[in-house]
Amino acid sequence: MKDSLKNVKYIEKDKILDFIKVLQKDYTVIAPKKVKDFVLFGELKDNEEPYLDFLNSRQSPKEFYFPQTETIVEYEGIIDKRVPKFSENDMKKRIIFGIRPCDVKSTLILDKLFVNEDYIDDYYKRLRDNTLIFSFGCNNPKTTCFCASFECGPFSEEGSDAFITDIGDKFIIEGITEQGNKIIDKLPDGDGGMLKKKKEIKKNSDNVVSCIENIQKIPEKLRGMFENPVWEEISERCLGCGVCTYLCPTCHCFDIQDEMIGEDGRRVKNWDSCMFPIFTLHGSGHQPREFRFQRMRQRIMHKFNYYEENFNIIACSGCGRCVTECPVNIDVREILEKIKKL
Amino acid sequence: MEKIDKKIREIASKLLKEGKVKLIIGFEKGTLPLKARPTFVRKPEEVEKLIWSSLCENNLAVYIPFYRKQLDNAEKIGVIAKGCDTRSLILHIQENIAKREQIVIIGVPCEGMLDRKKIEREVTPGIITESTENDDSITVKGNGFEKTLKKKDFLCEDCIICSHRKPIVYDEIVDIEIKEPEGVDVLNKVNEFESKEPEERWKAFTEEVSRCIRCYACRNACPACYCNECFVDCSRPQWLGTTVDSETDLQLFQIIRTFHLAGRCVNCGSCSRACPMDIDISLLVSKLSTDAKQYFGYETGVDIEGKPVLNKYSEDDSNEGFFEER
Ligand code: SF4
Ligand code: SF4
Ligand code: SF4
Repeated sequence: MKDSLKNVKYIEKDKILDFIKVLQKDYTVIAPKKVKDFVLFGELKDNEEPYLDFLNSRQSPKEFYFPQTETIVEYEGIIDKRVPKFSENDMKKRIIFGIRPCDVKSTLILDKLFVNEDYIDDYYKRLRDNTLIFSFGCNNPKTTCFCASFECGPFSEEGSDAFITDIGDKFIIEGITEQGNKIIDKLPDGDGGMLKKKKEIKKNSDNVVSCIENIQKIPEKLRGMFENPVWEEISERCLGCGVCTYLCPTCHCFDIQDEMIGEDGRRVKNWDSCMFPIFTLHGSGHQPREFRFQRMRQRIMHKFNYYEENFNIIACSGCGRCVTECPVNIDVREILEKIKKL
Repeated sequence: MEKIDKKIREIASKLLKEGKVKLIIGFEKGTLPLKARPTFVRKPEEVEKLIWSSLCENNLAVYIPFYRKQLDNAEKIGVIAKGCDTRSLILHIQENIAKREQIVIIGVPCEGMLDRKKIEREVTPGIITESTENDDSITVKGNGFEKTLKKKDFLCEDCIICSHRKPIVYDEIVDIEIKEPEGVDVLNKVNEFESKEPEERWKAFTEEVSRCIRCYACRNACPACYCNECFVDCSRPQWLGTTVDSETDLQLFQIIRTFHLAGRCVNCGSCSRACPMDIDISLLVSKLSTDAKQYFGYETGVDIEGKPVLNKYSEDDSNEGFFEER
């Protein structure tokens, strides 16, 4: 990013709502919100403040590009009167405000699959194109954060339009892209002192956050491991639920279903999970991934080998959600270390 | 705790050496500060990893149906089991998943498991990096703080109301003195909710369930949910839509699942603990447990000789549960 574009602004913490209101004139603002004792991203309503005192959201915000349920087409009668669920430009632009760097990285990872030379997923692209990213540096990485392993980090700006840092009494907001700069233009200018504070915070976070060394070696290592007995060992405690994959910011498998009443209906895309016993169950009743070890292998291989082979990037950003929320504490960091040692 | 660990390892090692079982399911230390996790031991030299603590929250009976093939081959499985685990094991035996002699139960009396999320909340914004457990307290440490908490204040919701902490049946037992708490009953939890107006209850239920992401962790963590094909997965006929934008489907999923657990749930709370959206789904099933108790004097898995409540009929059965007018 060119330095000349770089624009440092600040905002007093108690003025955050005013800023949100300004944004809401032109944009739908999606931000962290407190739900019971945790945080989820959601659309801010009028006069609703974002909840910025959080480590990371329980679920990743991927649903805003890749909704868990998305109608692809609605139809009347037998398929000939198809109405796509959207017309080209009817969407209000959005800002995802306060998204963590790992989740931005994941978005970049997903872009490679959904928008590439061979194939463009119009549904994804439309949501993605209409969304600006105001990402938020992490002053307190969790013990389960390992973003530093993936050319990311608690203050990684890659993929952001603007970058927010909590420096105590204020937030500083740095414009990264032209669009980002334009939006924050009216905010008061920050100064060198503020940037210095940010630098200190960043240094601390970079020191704290974990990193899996030599992660680049994993894809190659996995290439010869399809038949390895380690998969059975790793998966024996797995319950086959959807927690790891549904909280994951990069998992992207989906299933297509028709919902019909009489001859009218809709075709929907739903998230699917390779950990479910019915994932890839054939109509014939044959199940190529009958056992849990085959499904666990699919999850790990897909992220750390197949995806890398296809798109030259590992499909993990180290957010640690699968680690903290797995009901039986299956820890992908441990799996990777194990694989490295084999 | 160390004493219990030692005893568990002794028993496990003996069973494996004598060839009484091929596999023992127990707990090991997890990778996170407040986590113990299920583990699988097949060789006597592996027993060293077995532990016991107030963090052994999973109901290990959930794994039994995964070994149906082995059980069909007359293999035996050892399970380290607290009160609720033994109740679920009894359910499995009554439902013919395994024969009694195929499950070697290593009983451990339980003093209630700790709720990791409650403890984390207590020390927020601190991030816990370490925990050590003593008899009735747990000490957690993290970035610049250290706190000792009384265990009894941080029990899992369903452990608070558990009145069967001692293993119901066992083949081996780790002897520790515990008292079943007095005056606790699943009813306590249900009554509180039931005392609300119907509209309020429906609102609470629908609000909670609207967060459901259909990850099915509640189902998969449940020892009683072991159908080969769950009704939510069935596509011919399709009982239920598969989306998350239909609130009705989310509600129906939980309502139907609840009915499938009538007289089968042991109130271990595994479903609620597994839920990544913190939906306290066990409350719903608890209602049916209290009904079973109230109308039929039945509690799941407390009498290995008895029959499950829905498998028997008696002329003296109360009709109230069916015909009560509201
Ligand atoms: S969250 Fe854990 S138990 Fe569930 S599928 Fe993933 S690894 Fe298995
Ligand atoms: S993984 Fe990195 S970017 Fe993500 S929340 Fe943790 S520290 Fe922040
Ligand atoms: S565990 Fe929670 S989120 Fe997952 S399906 Fe069950 S109720 Fe829904």
